[in-house]
Amino acid sequence: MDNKEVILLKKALDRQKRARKQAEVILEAKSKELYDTTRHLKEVNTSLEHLLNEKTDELNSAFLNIIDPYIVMDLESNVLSMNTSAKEFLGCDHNKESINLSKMVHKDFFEYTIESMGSLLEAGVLKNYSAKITTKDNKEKWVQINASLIYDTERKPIAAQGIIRDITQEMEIKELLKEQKKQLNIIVEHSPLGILLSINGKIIKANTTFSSCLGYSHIELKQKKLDDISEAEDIRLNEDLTCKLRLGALDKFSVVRRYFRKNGGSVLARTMVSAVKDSEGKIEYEVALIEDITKERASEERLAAEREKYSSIIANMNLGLLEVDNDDIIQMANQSFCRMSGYEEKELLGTKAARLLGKDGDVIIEESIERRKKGISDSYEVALTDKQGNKKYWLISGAPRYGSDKELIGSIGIHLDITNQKLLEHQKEQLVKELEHSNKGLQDYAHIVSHDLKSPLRSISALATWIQEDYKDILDEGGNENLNLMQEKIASMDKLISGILDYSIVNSSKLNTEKVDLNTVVAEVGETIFIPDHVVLSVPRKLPIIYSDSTKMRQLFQNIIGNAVVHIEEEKGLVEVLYDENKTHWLFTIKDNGVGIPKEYHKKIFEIFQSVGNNERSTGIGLSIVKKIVDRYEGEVWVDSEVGVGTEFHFSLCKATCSM
Amino acid sequence: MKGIVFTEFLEMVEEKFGLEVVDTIIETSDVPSEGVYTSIGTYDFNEMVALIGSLSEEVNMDQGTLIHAFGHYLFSSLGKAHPEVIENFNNPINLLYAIEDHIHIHVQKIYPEAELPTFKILEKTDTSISMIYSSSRGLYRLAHGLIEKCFEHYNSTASVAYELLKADGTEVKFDVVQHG
Repeated sequence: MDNKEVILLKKALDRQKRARKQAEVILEAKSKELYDTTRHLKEVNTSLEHLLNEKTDELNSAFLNIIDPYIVMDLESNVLSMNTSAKEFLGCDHNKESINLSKMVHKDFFEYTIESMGSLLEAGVLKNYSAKITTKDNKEKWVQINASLIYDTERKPIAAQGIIRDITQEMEIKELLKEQKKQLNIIVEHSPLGILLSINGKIIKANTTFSSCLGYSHIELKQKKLDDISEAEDIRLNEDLTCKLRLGALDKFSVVRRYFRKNGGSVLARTMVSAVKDSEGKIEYEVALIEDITKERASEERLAAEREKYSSIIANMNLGLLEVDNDDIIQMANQSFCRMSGYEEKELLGTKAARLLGKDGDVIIEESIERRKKGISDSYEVALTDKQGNKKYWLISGAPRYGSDKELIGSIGIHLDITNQKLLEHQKEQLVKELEHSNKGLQDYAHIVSHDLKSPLRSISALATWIQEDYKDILDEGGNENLNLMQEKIASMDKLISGILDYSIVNSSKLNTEKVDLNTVVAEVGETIFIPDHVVLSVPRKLPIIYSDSTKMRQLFQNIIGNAVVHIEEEKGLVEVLYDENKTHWLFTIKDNGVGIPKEYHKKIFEIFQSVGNNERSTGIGLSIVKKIVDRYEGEVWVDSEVGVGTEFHFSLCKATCSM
Repeated sequence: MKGIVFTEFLEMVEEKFGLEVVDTIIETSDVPSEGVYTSIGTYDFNEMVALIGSLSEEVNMDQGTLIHAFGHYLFSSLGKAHPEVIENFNNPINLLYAIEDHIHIHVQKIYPEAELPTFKILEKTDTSISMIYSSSRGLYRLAHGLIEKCFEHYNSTASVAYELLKADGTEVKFDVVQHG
């Protein structure tokens, strides 16, 4: 290596050394700079850490000391940290076991919880998450959670922290309130009263009773004021009371309002308005209870009219009305009673009613009081003297009087003055007695007379017979003829007396009621009476069986048929017994083709001792007996006849009488 | 100017022309640093101007050619020093595209005092890029060499045309088209 090269290398080496030294200086400077920076950073870091620790401690102790449970969990809901309160609340400790909060959530809230977690991750905070959970010690609780996300330094969420509030009681209260509200709603909705909630007269709520009564929907009602749909009966009174209520002088009041239906028409209702006040005594609502009194009002009016009507009837009626209490003290007496008794109303009130009845009064009243106690109404007659001393008879109808609670408070009596009737009754009784007496005398008389008359008649007949027999050789034809006539007259006389006897008892003798076959009666009559040879008795239609007195029936038919058969001058005589009936009566006709009866006799023949012509066989009694019998059977008898053609005797018998 | 540019320049001179030329140009240019450079230091740009001027005279070659050649050399040495920068890109166009916004930002991190040229991108396709070089140093030929070597590194070639927008070379437009 030559010298020049060495020098070059030396120079280059020198440059390299110097460059290295230069670099070392630079590096040292850089190094120191770095060291200073590091130290500074460390200091800053330390102070920051302190600050952070302090804050964390503060926070931790704050959270540990707060009453509400506080929990930090990772994003998979695993608990990272929790305070004592949380441990107690959830019944577990994250230091002893791993806890996943999502497993505690009640299954009904899974979906909601997932949604909530989503919104927490999105928004960073979660407010008022409420759900039901089952704690480790198997208790069901309601919780409300407010949570926020915790981020790392890169602003990445790494955990969430939340404060739990136990709202179990709150929820229970809520449930209870809900239940109570429901019950209240049921009561309100089913109330027969309309219920209305309003603020300053503006309707806020109405129950169904109210809305259906007026025909408005709930929505329509909410747009109305009370005054839009109703008006007070007494506007001034209502205004006054409303004003007082709003000023606090009144808590409630009641007025009658007329409510107008949506479709016309109106309802009258008692409206009770009460104020609902808040804690400061300010009126929050006005509650109105509305009771439909349209019917009540109508019936009240009707009642008043009725009362008016009856009190005027009572005042003006001809019956004495008296109200007494349980001690028989007079409470009320109407005008008629005063007139009847002769006392003034003020004299009567407060005195004992029994006093009016004299000395027997107490007994009568005591008895009637006993009956009232049993609730018995009755009527009885009393005799008394009025104030003026006149003797009077009253018919009293008494009835118990009850109070509003159905208790016996006395009795009410209606008094009818029967003095006049009573006197008439007395007179009548007297007359009947006298009549019975004279009737009896009369019958006895007829009986005696006919008996007494018959025995001398029989003697005369016997004597005449004896004369005719004993002196038949001496008597000439004229004598015999006269004796025969005498016998005939005696027979006629006998008949007349028997007739009178019959007539006198036909009215008074008792009527038997038995089953009587009129066919038999007519047949027997046909056999008994004398029927001339040229006369035929015929019954074309079978006669009925009726309930009656067989003797009377026989007398009836015998008298008419007997009359008919003897008055026939035709060559062939015919007497027919015909019968018919209507609803009430049997109708009989005895038809003959005899001589007939002149018109002027048609009525007369039924009177006693009247006969047509001068027939010796007729006593003039028979048809009057017929008339009497028909009368007793409530029928009629009449005759249709034409002289020379024939006669029809008609008579009827009442079915009702016949069947008795 | 960063020390690494000086140390790499002298390395190239030594390699191409020998230690004697290195010594000569240091002696002739009479720079204040006396030719003592460390890559982590920072030195006056004028020293580089003086060194290049001396080299040009010594070896009788024009300055532009020398700077262009230095560009080729510098890309390789930078690549050796910071291989991770090149590895981040899979083709030369993307690397060029990222100089301003990516590579220079990292340079600034290590050397906050470094004064870097700017490359404003006018147009870029998958196979071409147009940009404007601007620097008070006017070392556009250095940039030219660096660009060419960059394509070479990715085993590719490109035609690199440049147009001086300012006569002193402080603003130059590059149009680079890649071949294959």
